[in-house]
Amino acid sequence: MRQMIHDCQLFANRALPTLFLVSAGLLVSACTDNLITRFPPPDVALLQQAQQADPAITMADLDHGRKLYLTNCTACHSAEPIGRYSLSDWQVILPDMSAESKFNAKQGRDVSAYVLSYRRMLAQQSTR
Amino acid sequence: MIRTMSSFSRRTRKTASLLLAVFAFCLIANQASAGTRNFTYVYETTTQPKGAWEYEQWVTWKTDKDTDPEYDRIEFRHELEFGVTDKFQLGLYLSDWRYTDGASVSNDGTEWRTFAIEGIYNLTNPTTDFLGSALYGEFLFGDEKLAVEAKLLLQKKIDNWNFAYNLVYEAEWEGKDFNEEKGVFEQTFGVSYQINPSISVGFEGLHEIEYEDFTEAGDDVVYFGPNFAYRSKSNWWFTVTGLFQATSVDSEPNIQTRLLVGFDF
Ligand code: HEC
Repeated sequence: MRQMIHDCQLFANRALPTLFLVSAGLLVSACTDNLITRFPPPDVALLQQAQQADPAITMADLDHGRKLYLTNCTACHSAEPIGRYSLSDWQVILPDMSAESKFNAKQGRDVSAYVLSYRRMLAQQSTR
Repeated sequence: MIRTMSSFSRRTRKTASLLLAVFAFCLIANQASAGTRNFTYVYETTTQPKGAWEYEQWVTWKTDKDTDPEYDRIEFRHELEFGVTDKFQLGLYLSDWRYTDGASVSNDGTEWRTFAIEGIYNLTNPTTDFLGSALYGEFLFGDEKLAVEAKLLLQKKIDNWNFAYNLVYEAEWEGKDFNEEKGVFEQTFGVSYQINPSISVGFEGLHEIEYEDFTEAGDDVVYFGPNFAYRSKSNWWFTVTGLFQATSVDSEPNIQTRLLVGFDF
C-alpha cells in the first residue's frame, strides 16, 4: 500500500505538468465560450412565441427544453446552432432526434417548444 | 481462491452465453438508440441514457517492435453497454481474446483472455458545466489475468471542439498463479473537431508507465496519432485511431490502431 502511494507520487510528478496544461487550456476556452448568447434562456417574448403554437407551454417547460438541448442533444454531436436549420427542417429533425435521445413525450415536447419558438423568433428578427 | 479460478471462469463463460442470449433478445426488441464515441483510447464523460443498449466491437492491432519487427497482436473485445440511469452506465466485456504472431512470440495463435464488468458514473456535463467529469471503475477476470482499473474522466465540449482527458490506474495479476503483479499508470488526451453531425476528426495521445511488482517503474511510453469518427443516420457508428510511438521503447509496439464499431438499440 505504501509502495502504491509512493508510485502515485512518482507518477503525479510526471503527469501533473500535462494535467496542468490541459486544465489551463480548458479554463481559457471555457471562459471564451458563451452558451448564454448562443442558446439564450427563455424570456417572456419567447414564452409568448411558444404559446402561440401551444398555449399549455410554461416557462419551466422552455427551461427544461433548453436544458435537454444542451445536455442530452449533445451526447453524439455538438449543440447545433438553431439558426442553421430552417423551421421546416427542424420540424423533421426534432422528432427524429428526440427518438435518438430516447426522449419521452414530455421531453420531446419541451425540447421542440424551445427550439421551434427560438427559431421563429430568429426568423422574425431577420425580417424586421 | 486462485485454484478455483478455472472452474469459476467456466461458470462465467456460461453466464456470458446467457448474456449473449439476452443481448440477442434485446436486438430483436430493437428500441431507439443513443450514444457514440469520438475517441477510441480516451473515454468521454457522458453515459448511455436510461434504458439504452449498445453493442461495441473493439479491434486493436499492435505491430512492429524494435526488438521484433514481425510482431503482430490483434485484440478483440465484445462489449455490451446499458444505461441504468441517465448518469450511470454498466458495460460488460463479454469476451476479450487475442491473436499474437512474431519472431519473439513462443506460442503464436489465438488465446481467450478475460471477461470484465465496467461502470461509469457521470458527475458533471461537458457542455453546460465548467468541466465535464465522470468516474470509471472496471474489474477484469480470466484464466490467467485479474485486473482492477480506476479512471478519472474529464471533458469539455465547446462549439464544435471536444477535449477529453483520462487519468488511469490499473493493478494487474497475470500468469498461471496470478503471481506476476504489475501496476500501470496511464494518462490519455484527445481533441476532436466536429465537421458535421456525422463526422469528427482529431487526435489522441497516450502516456503509460508500468510498475513491475508495483515497484520498479518501467520506461515512459508515449503514443500520438490521428482519429476519425463517423455516425450513421441509422443506428451504428465507428471510430478509428492510429497511434505511433513517440518514445523509443524497444519492447513496445511502434504502431497501434484501434477500431470501434457501435450498434445502438
Ligand atoms: C444517438 C446519437 C444522437 C443524439 C442523442 C442526437 N443526435 Fe442529432 N444527429 C445524430 C446523427 C448521427 C446525425 C447525422 C445524421 C443525420 O442527419 O441523421 C445527427 C444530425 C443532427 C442534426 C443535423 C440534421 C441535418 O439534417 O443535417 C441536427 C440539427 C441534430 N442532429 C439535432 C439534434 C437534437 C436537437 C437532438 C436532441 C433532441 C439530437 N440531435 C440528439 C445523432 C444524434
